[in-house]
Amino acid sequence: MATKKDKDKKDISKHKNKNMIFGNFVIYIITIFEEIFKFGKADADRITQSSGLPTRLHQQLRKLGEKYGEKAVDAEFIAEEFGITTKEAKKIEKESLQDFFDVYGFIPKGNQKSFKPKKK
Amino acid sequence: MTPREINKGNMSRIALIGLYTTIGYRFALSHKLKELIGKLVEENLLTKYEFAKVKSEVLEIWIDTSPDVAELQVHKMSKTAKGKYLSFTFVMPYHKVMKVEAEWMGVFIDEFFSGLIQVLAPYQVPENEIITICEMVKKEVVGNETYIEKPSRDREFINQLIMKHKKEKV
Repeated sequence: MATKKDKDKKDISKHKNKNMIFGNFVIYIITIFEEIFKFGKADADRITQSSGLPTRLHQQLRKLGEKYGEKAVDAEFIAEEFGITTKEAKKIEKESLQDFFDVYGFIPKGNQKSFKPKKK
Repeated sequence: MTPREINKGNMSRIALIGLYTTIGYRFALSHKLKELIGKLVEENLLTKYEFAKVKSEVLEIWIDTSPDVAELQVHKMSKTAKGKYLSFTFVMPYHKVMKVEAEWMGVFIDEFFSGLIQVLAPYQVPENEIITICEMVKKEVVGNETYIEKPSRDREFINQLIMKHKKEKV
């Protein structure tokens, strides 16, 4: 029977959800109709082999394409960070979101459920 | 017949998604240009030819670019679990497309359609029909600024953020 330790090991190899796991990350922005829709971070090690692109980002963009139009959605990487922890990657993502909030005064639609800004 | 059965073996849509993975390198394509390419490809190629052996409903093209690529690279992606998407990534040669800045859109369209010729070759779609559509698109968009992404507050913000991250790394 698999112990909790075994399960943790399996989890580490599959994803980097745990805050202290080291890895390579990219920070990206999704735009819809050329407007900023969402900031996110992706595990740069979990890629679709044939394309070299982050797997979960593909899935996310497909879903948005189905909702908003398959020619309306784009994404681009804005930062790459190698050998940092998940917690540090989250911090970079949050700082970018805070920068957005400071300039625009609102949160991008795609981050509204997960981000709480610091109001100045 | 359910909608799923009607769609089976009838690839009738194209998805065009920019996914730029080299920081600071992208093309200022408007969604209006992607709509135009999509409309012409769907009407003149995808719904005209049967693609009888293709179970996928959507021909999906991911557009990327790199300064380190000299010629267009076309990568076929593994099938999705449900096989809904027939997917390819086009890695565009950034410097080739942007060589003459004022003419980049015409070069981009040529590169895109040369990729489409490669993608549709196994399905007996005549090359000359794809080239005709390429010429139609170029005639409509080259020199027409409404097809280029307009300067915007969002674009300026993204560029500033990229610069900020670069500076922090140095």
